[in-house]
Amino acid sequence: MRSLNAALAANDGARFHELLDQLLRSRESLIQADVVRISGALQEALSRFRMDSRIAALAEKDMPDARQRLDHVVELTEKAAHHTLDLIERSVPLADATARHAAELTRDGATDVASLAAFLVTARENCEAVRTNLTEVMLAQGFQDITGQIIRGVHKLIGEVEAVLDDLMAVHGIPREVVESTAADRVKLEGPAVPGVTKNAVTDQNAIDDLMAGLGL
Amino acid sequence: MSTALRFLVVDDFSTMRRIVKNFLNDLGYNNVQEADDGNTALPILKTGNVDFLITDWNMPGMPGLDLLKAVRGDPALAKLPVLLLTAEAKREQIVEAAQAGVNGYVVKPFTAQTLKEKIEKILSARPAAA
Repeated sequence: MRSLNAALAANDGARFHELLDQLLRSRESLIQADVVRISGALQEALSRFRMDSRIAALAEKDMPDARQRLDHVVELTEKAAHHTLDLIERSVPLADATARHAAELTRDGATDVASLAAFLVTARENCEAVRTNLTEVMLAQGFQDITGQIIRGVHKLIGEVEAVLDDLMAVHGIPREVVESTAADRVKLEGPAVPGVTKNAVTDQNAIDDLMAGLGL
Repeated sequence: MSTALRFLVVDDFSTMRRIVKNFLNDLGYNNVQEADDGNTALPILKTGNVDFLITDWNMPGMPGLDLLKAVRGDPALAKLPVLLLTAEAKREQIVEAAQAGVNGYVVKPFTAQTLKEKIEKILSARPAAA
Protein backbone atom coordinates (compact mmCIF):
# COMPACT_ATOMS: atom_id res chain seq x y z
CA MET A 1 0.00 0.00 0.00
CA ARG A 2 2.85 2.34 0.91
CA SER A 3 4.60 1.76 -2.45
CA LEU A 4 1.25 2.36 -4.15
CA ASN A 5 0.96 5.74 -2.34
CA ALA A 6 4.56 6.56 -3.24
CA ALA A 7 3.91 5.83 -6.93
CA LEU A 8 0.80 8.04 -6.78
CA ALA A 9 2.73 10.87 -5.06
CA ALA A 10 5.51 10.60 -7.62
CA ASN A 11 2.87 10.74 -10.34
CA ASP A 12 4.37 7.48 -11.77
CA GLY A 13 1.33 6.09 -13.65
CA ALA A 14 3.04 2.97 -15.01
CA ARG A 15 4.40 1.93 -11.62
CA PHE A 16 1.04 2.69 -9.97
CA HIS A 17 -0.83 0.39 -12.40
CA GLU A 18 1.76 -2.36 -12.03
CA LEU A 19 1.45 -2.30 -8.21
CA LEU A 20 -2.36 -2.17 -8.42
CA ASP A 21 -2.36 -5.30 -10.66
CA GLN A 22 -0.15 -7.10 -8.15
CA LEU A 23 -2.52 -6.24 -5.31
CA LEU A 24 -5.57 -7.44 -7.24
CA ARG A 25 -3.86 -10.72 -8.21
CA SER A 26 -2.96 -11.53 -4.61
CA ARG A 27 -6.57 -10.79 -3.53
CA GLU A 28 -7.90 -13.09 -6.27
CA SER A 29 -5.72 -16.02 -5.23
CA LEU A 30 -6.84 -15.58 -1.59
CA ILE A 31 -10.50 -15.65 -2.64
CA GLN A 32 -9.85 -18.70 -4.83
CA ALA A 33 -8.27 -20.58 -1.89
CA ASP A 34 -11.28 -19.68 0.26
CA VAL A 35 -13.71 -20.95 -2.37
CA VAL A 36 -11.79 -24.24 -2.66
CA ARG A 37 -11.79 -24.64 1.14
CA ILE A 38 -15.50 -23.89 1.47
CA SER A 39 -16.50 -26.23 -1.34
CA GLY A 40 -14.35 -29.01 0.20
CA ALA A 41 -16.03 -28.52 3.56
CA LEU A 42 -19.43 -28.50 1.88
CA GLN A 43 -18.65 -31.75 0.07
CA GLU A 44 -17.51 -33.38 3.32
CA ALA A 45 -20.62 -32.15 5.13
CA LEU A 46 -22.77 -33.58 2.35
CA SER A 47 -21.09 -36.98 2.40
CA ARG A 48 -21.28 -37.02 6.20
CA PHE A 49 -24.94 -36.22 5.97
CA ARG A 50 -25.45 -39.06 3.49
CA MET A 51 -23.51 -41.42 5.78
CA ASP A 52 -25.41 -40.16 8.83
CA SER A 53 -28.76 -40.81 7.18
CA ARG A 54 -27.59 -44.32 6.12
CA ILE A 55 -26.46 -45.02 9.69
CA ALA A 56 -29.83 -43.80 10.98
CA ALA A 57 -31.65 -46.10 8.55
CA LEU A 58 -29.43 -49.03 9.56
CA ALA A 59 -29.94 -48.42 13.28
CA GLU A 60 -33.65 -47.63 13.15
CA LYS A 61 -34.93 -50.06 10.58
CA ASP A 62 -32.49 -52.50 8.99
CA MET A 63 -30.87 -53.85 12.15
CA PRO A 64 -34.14 -54.45 14.09
CA ASP A 65 -35.50 -56.05 10.90
CA ALA A 66 -32.46 -58.31 10.73
CA ARG A 67 -32.94 -59.36 14.34
CA GLN A 68 -36.56 -60.21 13.63
CA ARG A 69 -35.53 -62.18 10.54
CA LEU A 70 -33.00 -64.18 12.54
CA ASP A 71 -35.62 -64.88 15.23
CA HIS A 72 -37.79 -66.25 12.43
CA VAL A 73 -34.90 -68.49 11.32
CA VAL A 74 -34.60 -69.89 14.86
CA GLU A 75 -38.36 -70.47 14.93
CA LEU A 76 -38.44 -72.18 11.52
CA THR A 77 -35.50 -74.47 12.26
CA GLU A 78 -36.96 -75.39 15.66
CA LYS A 79 -40.34 -76.20 14.12
CA ALA A 80 -38.77 -78.30 11.37
CA ALA A 81 -36.62 -80.21 13.88
CA HIS A 82 -39.62 -80.95 16.13
CA HIS A 83 -41.76 -81.97 13.16
CA THR A 84 -39.00 -84.34 11.98
CA LEU A 85 -38.64 -85.76 15.49
CA ASP A 86 -42.45 -86.29 15.65
CA LEU A 87 -42.32 -88.27 12.43
CA ILE A 88 -39.37 -90.34 13.64
CA GLU A 89 -41.10 -91.05 16.94
CA ARG A 90 -44.15 -92.23 14.99
CA SER A 91 -42.06 -94.44 12.67
CA VAL A 92 -39.75 -96.15 15.17
CA PRO A 93 -42.52 -98.16 16.92
CA LEU A 94 -43.82 -99.33 13.52
CA ALA A 95 -40.38 -100.59 12.48
CA ASP A 96 -39.85 -102.15 15.92
CA ALA A 97 -43.25 -103.89 15.85
CA THR A 98 -42.63 -105.29 12.36
CA ALA A 99 -39.18 -106.60 13.31
CA ARG A 100 -40.51 -108.09 16.56
CA HIS A 101 -43.41 -109.78 14.79
CA ALA A 102 -41.08 -111.21 12.12
CA ALA A 103 -38.70 -112.47 14.82
CA GLU A 104 -41.59 -114.22 16.61
CA LEU A 105 -42.70 -115.93 13.41
CA THR A 106 -39.21 -117.14 12.48
CA ARG A 107 -38.54 -118.28 16.05
CA ASP A 108 -41.72 -120.37 16.07
CA GLY A 109 -40.39 -122.32 13.09
CA ALA A 110 -43.50 -124.03 11.76
CA THR A 111 -45.45 -120.88 11.04
CA ASP A 112 -48.96 -121.45 9.75
CA VAL A 113 -50.10 -119.73 6.63
CA ALA A 114 -52.82 -117.75 8.40
CA SER A 115 -50.40 -116.01 10.84
CA LEU A 116 -47.96 -115.41 8.00
CA ALA A 117 -50.73 -113.78 5.96
CA ALA A 118 -51.73 -111.65 8.94
CA PHE A 119 -48.11 -110.59 9.38
CA LEU A 120 -47.82 -109.63 5.72
CA VAL A 121 -50.87 -107.40 6.02
CA THR A 122 -49.56 -105.54 9.10
CA ALA A 123 -46.02 -105.42 7.64
CA ARG A 124 -47.39 -103.77 4.51
CA GLU A 125 -49.45 -101.29 6.52
CA ASN A 126 -46.49 -100.43 8.75
CA CYS A 127 -44.14 -99.99 5.78
CA GLU A 128 -46.63 -97.73 4.03
CA ALA A 129 -47.03 -95.61 7.15
CA VAL A 130 -43.22 -95.34 7.55
CA ARG A 131 -42.92 -94.45 3.84
CA THR A 132 -45.48 -91.64 4.27
CA ASN A 133 -43.58 -90.36 7.32
CA LEU A 134 -40.30 -90.42 5.40
CA THR A 135 -41.83 -88.34 2.61
CA GLU A 136 -42.92 -85.82 5.24
CA VAL A 137 -39.42 -85.80 6.75
CA MET A 138 -38.09 -85.01 3.28
CA LEU A 139 -40.56 -82.14 2.83
CA ALA A 140 -39.74 -80.78 6.29
CA GLN A 141 -36.20 -80.14 5.05
CA GLY A 142 -37.67 -77.36 2.89
CA PHE A 143 -36.96 -75.03 5.82
CA GLN A 144 -33.37 -74.80 4.56
CA ASP A 145 -34.45 -72.93 1.43
CA ILE A 146 -36.36 -70.32 3.45
CA THR A 147 -33.80 -69.92 6.23
CA GLY A 148 -30.95 -69.89 3.70
CA GLN A 149 -32.54 -66.96 1.86
CA ILE A 150 -33.17 -65.04 5.08
CA ILE A 151 -29.60 -65.62 6.29
CA ARG A 152 -28.21 -64.46 2.94
CA GLY A 153 -30.23 -61.24 3.28
CA VAL A 154 -28.82 -60.61 6.74
CA HIS A 155 -25.34 -61.45 5.43
CA LYS A 156 -25.72 -58.71 2.79
CA LEU A 157 -26.83 -56.22 5.44
CA ILE A 158 -23.81 -57.01 7.60
CA GLY A 159 -21.63 -56.29 4.56
CA GLU A 160 -23.29 -52.88 4.28
CA VAL A 161 -22.74 -52.17 7.98
CA GLU A 162 -19.09 -53.10 7.55
CA ALA A 163 -18.78 -50.63 4.63
CA VAL A 164 -20.39 -47.83 6.67
CA LEU A 165 -18.08 -48.55 9.62
CA ASP A 166 -15.11 -48.48 7.24
CA ASP A 167 -16.24 -45.07 5.91
CA LEU A 168 -16.70 -43.78 9.45
CA MET A 169 -13.22 -44.90 10.40
CA ALA A 170 -11.80 -43.24 7.28
CA VAL A 171 -13.59 -39.95 8.06
CA HIS A 172 -12.18 -39.98 11.58
CA GLY A 173 -8.76 -41.11 10.41
CA ILE A 174 -8.79 -44.35 12.40
CA PRO A 175 -6.56 -46.98 10.76
CA ARG A 176 -8.08 -50.40 10.16
CA GLU A 177 -5.80 -52.69 12.09
CA VAL A 178 -6.15 -56.30 13.07
CA VAL A 179 -7.59 -56.19 16.56
CA GLU A 180 -5.89 -58.64 18.88
CA SER A 181 -8.27 -60.65 21.04
CA THR A 182 -8.19 -59.67 24.67
CA ALA A 183 -8.00 -62.07 27.59
CA ALA A 184 -11.71 -61.47 28.22
CA ASP A 185 -12.51 -62.45 24.61
CA ARG A 186 -10.63 -65.70 24.98
CA VAL A 187 -12.74 -67.04 27.86
CA LYS A 188 -16.00 -65.78 26.35
CA LEU A 189 -18.31 -68.52 25.03
CA GLU A 190 -18.28 -68.48 21.25
CA GLY A 191 -20.90 -71.05 20.37
CA PRO A 192 -20.38 -73.42 17.46
CA ALA A 193 -16.93 -73.24 15.88
CA VAL A 194 -17.08 -71.67 12.42
CA PRO A 195 -14.36 -72.59 9.88
CA GLY A 196 -12.19 -69.57 9.12
CA VAL A 197 -13.60 -67.58 12.07
CA THR A 198 -13.03 -69.51 15.28
CA LYS A 199 -9.38 -69.72 16.18
CA ASN A 200 -7.80 -72.56 18.12
CA ALA A 201 -10.86 -74.78 17.73
CA VAL A 202 -10.72 -78.57 18.12
CA THR A 203 -13.83 -79.67 16.26
CA ASP A 204 -12.76 -83.22 15.54
CA GLN A 205 -13.98 -85.58 18.28
CA ASN A 206 -10.84 -87.73 17.98
CA ALA A 207 -8.64 -84.68 18.61
CA ILE A 208 -10.79 -83.81 21.64
CA ASP A 209 -10.47 -87.39 22.92
CA ASP A 210 -6.66 -87.15 22.53
CA LEU A 211 -6.62 -83.83 24.38
CA MET A 212 -8.77 -85.26 27.18
CA ALA A 213 -6.58 -88.37 27.35
CA GLY A 214 -3.55 -86.08 27.65
CA LEU A 215 -5.28 -84.48 30.64
CA GLY A 216 -5.77 -87.89 32.24
CA LEU A 217 -9.43 -88.38 31.22
CA MET B 1 -29.28 -103.19 35.67
CA SER B 2 -27.83 -100.24 33.76
CA THR B 3 -31.23 -99.42 32.27
CA ALA B 4 -32.37 -98.31 35.73
CA LEU B 5 -29.90 -95.43 35.57
CA ARG B 6 -31.50 -92.01 35.93
CA PHE B 7 -30.32 -89.32 33.51
CA LEU B 8 -30.73 -85.56 33.51
CA VAL B 9 -30.33 -83.82 30.15
CA VAL B 10 -29.68 -80.07 30.33
CA ASP B 11 -29.86 -77.94 27.18
CA ASP B 12 -31.59 -74.66 26.36
CA PHE B 13 -32.73 -76.03 22.98
CA SER B 14 -35.75 -78.30 23.34
CA THR B 15 -34.88 -80.08 20.07
CA MET B 16 -31.46 -81.11 21.40
CA ARG B 17 -33.00 -82.32 24.68
CA ARG B 18 -35.47 -84.35 22.67
CA ILE B 19 -32.76 -85.85 20.44
CA VAL B 20 -30.60 -86.88 23.43
CA LYS B 21 -33.62 -88.21 25.33
CA ASN B 22 -34.75 -90.31 22.33
CA PHE B 23 -31.25 -91.61 21.88
CA LEU B 24 -30.98 -92.58 25.56
CA ASN B 25 -34.33 -94.37 25.22
CA ASP B 26 -32.91 -96.27 22.23
CA LEU B 27 -29.97 -97.32 24.40
CA GLY B 28 -32.45 -98.65 26.94
CA TYR B 29 -32.33 -95.76 29.42
CA ASN B 30 -35.94 -94.80 29.93
CA ASN B 31 -35.56 -92.68 33.05
CA VAL B 32 -34.60 -89.31 31.57
CA GLN B 33 -35.43 -85.91 33.03
CA GLU B 34 -34.87 -82.56 31.31
CA ALA B 35 -33.84 -79.04 32.34
CA ASP B 36 -33.15 -75.95 30.24
CA ASP B 37 -30.20 -74.48 32.17
CA GLY B 38 -28.10 -74.89 35.32
CA ASN B 39 -30.59 -73.01 37.48
CA THR B 40 -33.41 -75.42 36.70
CA ALA B 41 -31.07 -78.43 36.74
CA LEU B 42 -29.62 -77.90 40.23
CA PRO B 43 -32.88 -78.39 42.21
CA ILE B 44 -33.50 -81.63 40.26
CA LEU B 45 -29.95 -82.80 41.02
CA LYS B 46 -30.31 -81.92 44.70
CA THR B 47 -33.24 -84.35 45.03
CA GLY B 48 -30.62 -87.08 44.63
CA ASN B 49 -32.62 -88.79 41.89
CA VAL B 50 -30.05 -88.42 39.12
CA ASP B 51 -27.23 -90.88 38.35
CA PHE B 52 -25.81 -89.27 35.21
CA LEU B 53 -25.75 -85.65 34.03
CA ILE B 54 -25.49 -84.69 30.37
CA THR B 55 -25.25 -80.92 29.94
CA ASP B 56 -24.73 -78.29 27.29
CA TRP B 57 -22.24 -75.50 28.09
CA ASN B 58 -23.54 -72.31 26.49
CA MET B 59 -26.96 -71.64 28.05
CA PRO B 60 -28.64 -68.43 29.26
CA GLY B 61 -29.01 -68.31 33.02
CA MET B 62 -26.50 -70.75 34.47
CA PRO B 63 -24.11 -72.20 31.86
CA GLY B 64 -22.98 -75.83 31.93
CA LEU B 65 -19.50 -75.12 33.29
CA ASP B 66 -20.97 -73.28 36.30
CA LEU B 67 -23.36 -76.19 36.79
CA LEU B 68 -20.40 -78.60 36.70
CA LYS B 69 -18.54 -76.51 39.29
CA ALA B 70 -21.67 -76.38 41.50
CA VAL B 71 -21.98 -80.17 41.25
CA ARG B 72 -18.32 -80.75 42.11
CA GLY B 73 -18.61 -78.27 44.97
CA ASP B 74 -21.55 -80.06 46.57
CA PRO B 75 -20.40 -83.06 48.67
CA ALA B 76 -23.65 -84.92 47.95
CA LEU B 77 -23.19 -84.57 44.18
CA ALA B 78 -19.40 -84.36 43.82
CA LYS B 79 -19.02 -87.86 42.36
CA LEU B 80 -21.87 -87.57 39.84
CA PRO B 81 -20.73 -88.50 36.28
CA VAL B 82 -20.96 -85.41 34.07
CA LEU B 83 -20.76 -85.39 30.28
CA LEU B 84 -20.48 -82.05 28.49
CA LEU B 85 -22.30 -82.08 25.16
CA THR B 86 -21.45 -78.75 23.59
CA ALA B 87 -20.59 -76.76 20.49
CA GLU B 88 -17.83 -74.97 22.42
CA ALA B 89 -14.65 -76.43 21.00
CA LYS B 90 -11.73 -74.16 21.78
CA ARG B 91 -8.69 -75.91 23.15
CA GLU B 92 -8.60 -73.74 26.28
CA GLN B 93 -12.28 -74.41 26.96
CA ILE B 94 -11.77 -78.17 26.81
CA VAL B 95 -8.83 -77.83 29.20
CA GLU B 96 -10.94 -75.61 31.50
CA ALA B 97 -13.77 -78.18 31.55
CA ALA B 98 -11.31 -80.99 32.29
CA GLN B 99 -9.82 -78.98 35.15
CA ALA B 100 -13.32 -78.34 36.51
CA GLY B 101 -13.80 -82.10 36.73
CA VAL B 102 -15.84 -83.12 33.69
CA ASN B 103 -15.90 -86.87 32.93
CA GLY B 104 -16.44 -86.65 29.19
CA TYR B 105 -16.55 -84.03 26.44
CA VAL B 106 -18.53 -84.48 23.22
CA VAL B 107 -18.58 -81.73 20.63
CA LYS B 108 -21.71 -80.93 18.60
CA PRO B 109 -22.63 -82.04 16.01
CA PHE B 110 -22.06 -85.57 17.26
CA THR B 111 -22.79 -89.06 16.03
CA ALA B 112 -24.86 -91.67 17.88
CA GLN B 113 -21.74 -93.84 18.08
CA THR B 114 -19.67 -91.10 19.79
CA LEU B 115 -22.33 -90.37 22.38
CA LYS B 116 -22.84 -94.08 23.10
CA GLU B 117 -19.09 -94.67 23.48
CA LYS B 118 -18.62 -91.73 25.84
CA ILE B 119 -21.53 -92.71 28.06
CA GLU B 120 -20.29 -96.31 28.22
CA LYS B 121 -16.72 -95.20 28.91
CA ILE B 122 -17.82 -93.00 31.80
CA LEU B 123 -20.06 -95.75 33.22
CA SER B 124 -17.30 -98.36 33.00
CA ALA B 125 -14.87 -96.06 34.83
CA ARG B 126 -17.40 -95.51 37.61
CA PRO B 127 -16.66 -97.22 40.91
CA ALA B 128 -19.00 -100.21 41.22
CA ALA B 129 -21.24 -98.98 44.01
CA ALA B 130 -24.24 -96.78 44.81
